[in-house]
Amino acid sequence: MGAAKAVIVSDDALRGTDALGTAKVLAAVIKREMPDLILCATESSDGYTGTTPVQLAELLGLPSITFAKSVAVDGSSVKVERQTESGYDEVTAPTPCVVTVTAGVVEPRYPSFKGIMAAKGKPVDQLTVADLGIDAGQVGSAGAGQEVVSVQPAEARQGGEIVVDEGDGHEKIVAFLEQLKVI
Amino acid sequence: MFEWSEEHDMMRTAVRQFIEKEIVPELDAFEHEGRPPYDALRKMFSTFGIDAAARAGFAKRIRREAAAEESAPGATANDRDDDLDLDLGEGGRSDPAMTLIPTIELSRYCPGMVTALGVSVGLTSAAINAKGTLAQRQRWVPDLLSLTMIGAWAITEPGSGSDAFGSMVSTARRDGDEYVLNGSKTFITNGPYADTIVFICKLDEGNRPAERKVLSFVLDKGMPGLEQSKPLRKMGMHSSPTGELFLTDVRAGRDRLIGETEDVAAGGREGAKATFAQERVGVAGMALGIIERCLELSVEYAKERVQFGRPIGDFQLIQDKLARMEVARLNVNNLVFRYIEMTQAGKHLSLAEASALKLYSARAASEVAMEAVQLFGGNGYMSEFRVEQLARDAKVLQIYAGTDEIQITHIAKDLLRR
Repeated sequence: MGAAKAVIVSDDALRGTDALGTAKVLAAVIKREMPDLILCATESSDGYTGTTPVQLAELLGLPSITFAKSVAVDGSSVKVERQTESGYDEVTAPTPCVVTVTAGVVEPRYPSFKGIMAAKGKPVDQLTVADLGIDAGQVGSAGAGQEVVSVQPAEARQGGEIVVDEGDGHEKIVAFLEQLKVI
Repeated sequence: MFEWSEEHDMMRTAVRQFIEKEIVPELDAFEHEGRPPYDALRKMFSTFGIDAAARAGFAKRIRREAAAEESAPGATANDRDDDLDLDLGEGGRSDPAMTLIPTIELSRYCPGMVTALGVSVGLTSAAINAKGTLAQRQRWVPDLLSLTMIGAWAITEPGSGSDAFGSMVSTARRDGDEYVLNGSKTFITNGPYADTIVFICKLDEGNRPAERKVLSFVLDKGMPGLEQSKPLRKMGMHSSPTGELFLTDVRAGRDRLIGETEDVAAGGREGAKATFAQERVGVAGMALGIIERCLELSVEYAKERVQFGRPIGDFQLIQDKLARMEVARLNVNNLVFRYIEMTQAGKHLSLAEASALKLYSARAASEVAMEAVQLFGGNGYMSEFRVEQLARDAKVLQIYAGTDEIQITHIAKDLLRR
């Protein structure tokens, strides 16, 4: 969908890396590339800490704007509509900066056939922690400030109760809500 | 070739996502409410850059021919390949899968759209591109290839179907520097909306119809004397508008006569036959899409539908249907792969091979789709379950682009000639 190149960091030393360790690795890669704008998702779909993008910005010494629902680049600044509970804030920041976007904000373009055919020829650099000049002790389980000691499946959701309306449906709803102390 | 390449799979996924998001939610409008398919097809073309690639491919071909013509004058005129390439820039090689993938993917939901698309981009543009002069090709082909203009290829008449040339009564008469065209055409895909029409007729010089030369003219919508009917009601392919054309003293200059020559070999039967082979391969792609989708829906239904206390997939008569569908899918898929690999190797299917591929694929699609209806039982007869539409759509694959019976004669003639 328009990427000119990709970088993958793959190293056994990264096993068990926490959010800060991840941010350190990303910062090291991004420093090599010096982009104008760093776009991140809000959070990962496994750890869900949501802290990596702001840690990354801190490590790079760049401004960060989180929860963007729209992003517009204007010369050397970005203008962001930042989602809040009650609406959105309009925020601007000079580039380079880090922006995290909320889910469903932008739908990715479909790749053109030409783009698909050209994709194989695009460079993908594979790097190790050592290539990035990072001490292996700072990442992985060794560098993590926390340890995952066990993983348990979440309790399965219980099936709901089906209430049949025999003319007294409204009464049953009211009784149910009262029981929950909602009304 | 035994499977799609990595790039092919990326295209299949992307095209399928597009179709499921942009076309499937609107399927009823296309199938039952008469919405023409062209805007959706144009959106698909621009989304995947097919329009730009087709224009670039055409321009590149013209340059290549000009260079060849310079080194060997006259060589390209009689040896012009009518397959049209997409130019995908550096790293992109010519690959028939690029057009077959959208064909297959669209046919999973909406085979009629492929009919409308194929007749415009495939048949009509190929007819002009194969035998037209450079000026004619540049005038009409890029706009057809990119779907800027919608094309129709008008050969069938009320009295001429399989015997297209023998029974043809549409005429062209010379009148000064122009021709006067008369006749009526029917079952013309895109007829009601076409901007550019290839009209095939016979040159009336006062001679007997059987001795007349076959000529093709390119007509534009709105020419005086040209009437395009409303869409005809038909069994299936409802998303493909089909109509009649009526020509009453339509005046066409020589610039509209394909090839600008009355020489039969350059303008008529041979051009039409070259177009047939290409059309037949497209039908195999459509058959594959229909078969794939019917099989998927049938397997899903066989697992979910419970009768006599167990899923119907437990019953051997249902298993027999599924197994037959899978055999058909494998065979048609292999025929399509074979065509792709042959084309990539610079080889062409003979007309007989194209006929064999079309005959088998069309029959397989019809059988699979009807068996899917049977497997779904009463639900299969209802539009909601979609196999009903695919079964109606599949039937025409055995009729258009040459009936099964015509394919058989082409195959047999070739065998007996050896």
